[in-house]
Order: sequence, then C-alpha cells, then structure tokens
Amino acid sequence: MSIRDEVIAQMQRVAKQQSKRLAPLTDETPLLETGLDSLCLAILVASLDDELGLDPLSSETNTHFPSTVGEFIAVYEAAAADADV
Amino acid sequence: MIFVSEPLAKHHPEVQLRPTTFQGCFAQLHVPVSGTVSDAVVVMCPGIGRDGSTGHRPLRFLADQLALAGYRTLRFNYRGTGDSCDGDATLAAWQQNVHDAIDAALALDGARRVVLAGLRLGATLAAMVAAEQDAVAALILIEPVVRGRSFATQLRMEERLATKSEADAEGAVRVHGLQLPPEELAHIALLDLLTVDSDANRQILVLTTQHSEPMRQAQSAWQRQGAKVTQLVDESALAFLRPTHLADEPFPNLCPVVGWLSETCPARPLPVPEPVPRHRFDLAGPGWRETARMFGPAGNLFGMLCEPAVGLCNRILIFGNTGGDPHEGFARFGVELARHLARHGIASLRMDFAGLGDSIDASYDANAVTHTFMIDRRADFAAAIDLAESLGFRSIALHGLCSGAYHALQSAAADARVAALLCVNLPLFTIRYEKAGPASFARRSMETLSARGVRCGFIFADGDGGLVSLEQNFGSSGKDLAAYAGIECAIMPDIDHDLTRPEMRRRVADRIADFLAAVPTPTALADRPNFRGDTAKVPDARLHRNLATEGAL
Repeated sequence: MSIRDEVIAQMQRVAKQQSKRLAPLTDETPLLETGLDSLCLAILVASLDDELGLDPLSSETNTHFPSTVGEFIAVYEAAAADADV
Repeated sequence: MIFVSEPLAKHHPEVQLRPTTFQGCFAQLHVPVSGTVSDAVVVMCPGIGRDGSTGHRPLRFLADQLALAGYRTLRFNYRGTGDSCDGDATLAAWQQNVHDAIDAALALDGARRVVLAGLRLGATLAAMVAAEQDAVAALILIEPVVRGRSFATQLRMEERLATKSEADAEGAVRVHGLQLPPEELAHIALLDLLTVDSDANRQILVLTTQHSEPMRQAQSAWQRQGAKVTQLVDESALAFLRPTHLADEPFPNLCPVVGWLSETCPARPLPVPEPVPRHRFDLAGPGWRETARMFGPAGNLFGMLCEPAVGLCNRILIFGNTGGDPHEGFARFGVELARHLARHGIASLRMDFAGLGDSIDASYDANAVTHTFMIDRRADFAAAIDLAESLGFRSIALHGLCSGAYHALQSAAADARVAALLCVNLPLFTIRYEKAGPASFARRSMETLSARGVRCGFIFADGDGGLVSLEQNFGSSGKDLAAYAGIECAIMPDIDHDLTRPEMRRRVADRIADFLAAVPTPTALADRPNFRGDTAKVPDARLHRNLATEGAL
C-alpha cells in the first residue's frame, strides 16, 4: 500500500471510530473541512506512527502543521523517503 | 486495606454496586445479587485521559455482564483520575495503583485469582503488572496501546491542536486533566508491549477493532513464551473509543468476552459474601471529604457528595453531566470544582443523569439509550434535591456546563426549591423551535426565576456558540438580562467551551465560588429540620467538627 493509500485508509478508519462523516477527499481539501476534528487528527497521527513507523509531525523541529490533505500526505511521503535513504 | 460499603442499591436487577476505596483510589465493586461468585475477581484498569471517559460507560456495562456471570468486578480510578484522591501522573504510580487494586480484590472473601481487564493504556499497564503478579490468571486487553510512542504522539498532537493553548513553562503536556512532564512523556514513549513478558500458560484475550502489525507482533512474542492468546477483532471494541456524547448508541455485544472468560477461567463457585462495613466517608483530602451516594426513586442514580473537611455548611451545588462525560467531568473539572468549593465551605453533589456514568436508566434496561439534550433531566435533578434536603442542606444551587447547563436551567425554572443557578456555556435555552420574544421560553424562564428571587449567573466563553442563542433572546452580550433582578451575565475572554486548559478551569471555579458566596443563605443551622448532628448549641453556619472522630480515611 502506498503512503497516500495508507493515509487515506487511516483517515477513513478514524472517521468511523469517532463517528465523523468524512468529506470527499482531494489534495486541496482543507484538513479541518475533512470532517475530522483536532482529536481525530491526533489519533490519525498516532495511527500512522503505528502503521508506518513515521512520526514527522510531532517532532519539536516541525512547527508547521499541514493545512490541506495534499500537504498532509506530502509530509508523510517526504518522511518515508528520508527513512529509506 | 480495603473498605467496602454496604450495598447501596441495585445497580442492575441482578447486580449490586458497592462503592469502595483503597489507598486513595475510588472504585466500584460489581457483585451479583444472589447465587454464587467465582474465586476469580476481575480488576478493570481504565484508560488514561480521554480514554478514561470514553470507556467509562461500556466498562460499566461489561462489569455488570461479568458480575452476572459470577465474576465480582472491581472498576477503579487511578490516583489523580476520576473520583480518586490526587496523585502523581506517572507510569510508576499508575502501576502501583493496579497492584493496590489487585491486593484489594484478593482481600475480598474467597478471592484467590485475579483477571486484569484493561482499556488502551490501562491494558498496557495491566500486561506490565501481570508480568509481576502470580495471582493474575488471565488478561483481557481492549484496544491496547502497543507502542507507547504513538500514544505519546497522540497526547502531544492533541495539546498542540487544542484551542487557546498557553504553553506550560515546564514543557509539560496538559490534556484531559493530565499534566505530564517531558520526562514522563518520554517514559510512556518507551513502552512497548513486545517487550512485556507473559507467563507460560497465561490466557490472554485481545479485543480490537482491526488487525494491526504491532499487535500481531506482540501476540507472536507472547505465544513464543507459551501464553495462550486469543484475538477478537470486532466492532464492539469501537464502543470503548467513541466520543462520550454518542451515549445514545446501544451497548455493544460483549457476550464473546464474557464467554471467553467463562471458558478459559471457569468459576470455582462460592456463596455471595456479605459486605464488610465501611468507614463513613469514602475519601478525604486537603479541605474536602467525599461520600458516594445512590439515590432516586429506584435507587438508580449515582452521585458523589463532597463536603468541607471541617465544619458544616448548609449550601450545596448540584450538577450533572456535561454531554456524555461521566460525573467527574471533562478533564476532571467536576472533581476539581467540587473540592475547590469544599475548601470554600460549600458542599456539592456531582451526579450522573440516568443512563450516563454510574447511573442507569430507572427501567434497569441495559439497552436503554440516552441522549445529551433530548431526555428530560428534571426528575434526576429533583431526586438530587430531595437527597440534599434529606441531608439538611437548605440553600440549593444548580450548575452545569454546556448540555449540563441546559438541563440545570430547565430544572431551576421548574423547581421552586432552587435558590441559585449558574450556567457555563449554555448552548441554547430550549431545544424547541420558537421565535425570540416575550412569549419565548427564554424570557418566561428568566421572569420566573427572577420573580422567585433565584440568583442566576450565565458565563460564556468569548466566541462560544451559545452566544448566538443569548443574543437572539437578550440582545448583544445578553444586555437585556439586566432588566431581570438577580440575573447577571459575563463573557470571559480567557476560557473556551470545554474549559480545556487547567488555568481556564481554575478561573471558572473561582468565579463559581465567588458567585455562590454571594447567594443569601439561611443564617441558623438550627433551623435545618434534617440537620445531621446536635444543633442545639450551634450559633451559626461556622460550626466545626473534628473529622478524625468520624473515622474518615
């Protein structure tokens, strides 16, 4: 499964767990308009850490939180690429 | 040492709920009414933080189901959580609490074995403690935290994404009433279930919503050590994780969990033992003492009475749930408020509405659903006021946050015994559709309360959604409320809707204490018809009594 597919799958799983209605997702969809609230996003980041072994967003050096779905996926794709190097 | 109360009331038609304390921890012991019990006692290790709230209702339901199957079940709060005394928020402290709970369980008549059932980080703690305890016969792990790193990540992200954050000077993460310093968060991040040993032949049930690679690896590791691991991937586990305001969903089917325990850890039957008499007060701390109460016409309602540690007071604040959170409140605000008020000489009763927290629907229908707004809570408040009056309190105030404020308003408007009302972040005055105007419920209720001389306070966070309803009915910032005697409104710029941060909760608690201090109260305790104690020589409400003589903990 690609990083993109894993992120989308986890978004769907968290939405179901927290009984949220997930909006149609495109790269341009703002994260806070996906239907996921801040708790969901926190659970999502934790789930991706479990599934991918990647935690690019909670590091102290990362002060910018992505604002769209596309940016969010890109952060994880970049972290995966760094991990492969 | 464990102190168990007399059975207060039937919690389920066939199960009694016995409030219990040990080592500063508050617990509820679920015991079948009749028949036999097993020599194996289930100890439930709740989740930490938000998981503690989301799991409360389904764990209570699971505890009833286990008791019905003959397993006495002890649900407890770690120190510093729920109704327990304050304590350190550290892994070491939480593990010690689990050890203490096991000791308490084994102190019950005929108890020989323990089953640890844990949720999320509570499941991880259960597995860690089980590795050090021979008495643990089986483990039930519900959606366990396999890697502490991801749990720590979640806590950090929640704090980071929270609104109106004020960074802690020490760098601590402060979410859901927890305050975790960086070094403790680092300890949590190092947790790894793969490294937790399991005794050979130990029975382990893992209940999860989905398969995951980390969980698969942990199971393999335990199986290599000889443990017998069963994984149940079932959507019933979702019930333990859902937001608490979704309390209108039916209870999950947990029969497979109970069935698994009955097969793998069969009961060795004993007669249901008689309870041990308890001390009068369940818990006490600096300036406060608390007693669990079950009340209401059917004895189905639960509340925690908090009183000043010394002295007697004749005023009490009664408040119910916020949304679907149990009576301790979001981020434990209910507990913090109650103990803060006690230190200011004011008693309180924090209660669960029927169907929420530790109160069940009066019909004893385990599948009865509840709803944040749609169910009329006036009967629940009336029962709480009956209890307060029976205890001799003469000045009764109601309070609530969000939906709790909504129900407090409805009750205060309907019950002439209420002397004061304080609503925080009231989302709306009525759920019925009606136009604002002189005939609206909002206007009529204010007229009623003002005419009765009820002192009312409305506090809103700046920008709160409830300001829309306030403005519709009483103008911008509620300016029209000034026309009603005894009714005031304040908009606080430094709080949010949920009172997310500790400093927000402190500000509101101070505000509530100041508000209540200004409410006129009856002057002479001797006037109290049901006053507890000898009032003959009591000149005023500042009577002092030595708690030690009452055997408080």
